[in-house]
Amino acid sequence: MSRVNLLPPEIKERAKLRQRTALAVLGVIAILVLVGAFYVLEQMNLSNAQDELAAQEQTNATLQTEISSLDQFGALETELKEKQALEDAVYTNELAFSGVLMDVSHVIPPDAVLTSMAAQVGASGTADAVVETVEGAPVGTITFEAASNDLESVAMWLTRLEQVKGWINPFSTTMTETGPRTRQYTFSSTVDLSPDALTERGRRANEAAAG
Amino acid sequence: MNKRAPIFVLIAGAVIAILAVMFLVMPKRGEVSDAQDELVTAEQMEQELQLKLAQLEEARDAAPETNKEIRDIETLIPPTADEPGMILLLQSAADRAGVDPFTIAPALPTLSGDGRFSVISVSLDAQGSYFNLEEFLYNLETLPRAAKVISISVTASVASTDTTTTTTTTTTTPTENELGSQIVVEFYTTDLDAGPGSAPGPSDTPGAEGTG
Repeated sequence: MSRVNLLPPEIKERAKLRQRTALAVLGVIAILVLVGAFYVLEQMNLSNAQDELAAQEQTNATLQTEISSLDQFGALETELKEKQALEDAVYTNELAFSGVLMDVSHVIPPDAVLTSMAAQVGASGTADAVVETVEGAPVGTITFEAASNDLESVAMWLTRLEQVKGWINPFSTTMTETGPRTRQYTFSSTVDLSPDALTERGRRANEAAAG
Repeated sequence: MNKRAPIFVLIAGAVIAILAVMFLVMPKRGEVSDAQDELVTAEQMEQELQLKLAQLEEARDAAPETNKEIRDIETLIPPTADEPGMILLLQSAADRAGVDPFTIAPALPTLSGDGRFSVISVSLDAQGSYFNLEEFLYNLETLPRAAKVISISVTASVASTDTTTTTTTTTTTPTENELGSQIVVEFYTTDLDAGPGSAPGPSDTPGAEGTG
């Protein structure tokens, strides 16, 4: 049996429109609820982050207080470092001259006699000392005046000078026979001192100065 | 009712939703992001503070040794020129080595190149045998106060055994096997304004501070 709708089409159309409008409103409300939910979620995240931040700042403040109470020991360490730097500066280019005399007594040939000797290294805190440290150039020089019974002794002297640790560039500038056919000579020579000739603390100081 | 009412509702809803996201959700999200960044920074700071605290605790534990090292260095490089102490040290080093230091000439203190300490350069004329001089140099190198020999010149002395005594001085000329030597040795002080005409006492500088 067929059914007949007696409602006018306008009313049916209006009902459909109301239904669509209601659906649209519901959709909008759903979206706004979703947005609101996001907002609430972010608010919770913010609250959590702020709580954690406050706790972290409290921890940091506690640590800072502990650090403040120990600051004096930090200052002590700083003072020690300054003093050590000072010590390094003082011992820059330190050479053990007692060792130099000992070495000379070991290397001088049996038939040679030392008549004079002079040794010198760079002084503390001078510009020269710093440059020498940086370039690794000789840090000092020893000059000798001596006499020998023959030229072989002079050659032996120069050879032995170079065998001492840190002694470099031995060179004899004059060899003069004391008289005709005497075969006896006076001679002068020099030897440079490399950084290896320095004391351990002198080398350490130079390394510290070179950075 | 307008046929386009649902569309208007959707558009209005979309506009409201977009505005809500733009003016409520996004700023809140920004605040969360800022707070998290601050938290990360605070956590990094905690690590730094923990590290610093550990270093300070280590420094506290090592404080007695640190104090001792500072005192040792202050003995090496005293806060004042202390010339009497310097003279006594030189005399003691010479006596132990059997060397006769007949001239001791300390120069006025001069500021080092880097301005951190003063240098007192002392010229010594001393006599003794070769090995006496060697021992004297060794004694200088191992003094409780920092002393650095800068130069030495050794020459053979004139053989003689004469001794001249006057009312104020005794001069002994060298005997055979004795050598004459000229030694320049540097002493140091953290007093940056030492010597005649300066303010007495140590300088008020970090390098010259006491250990407290």
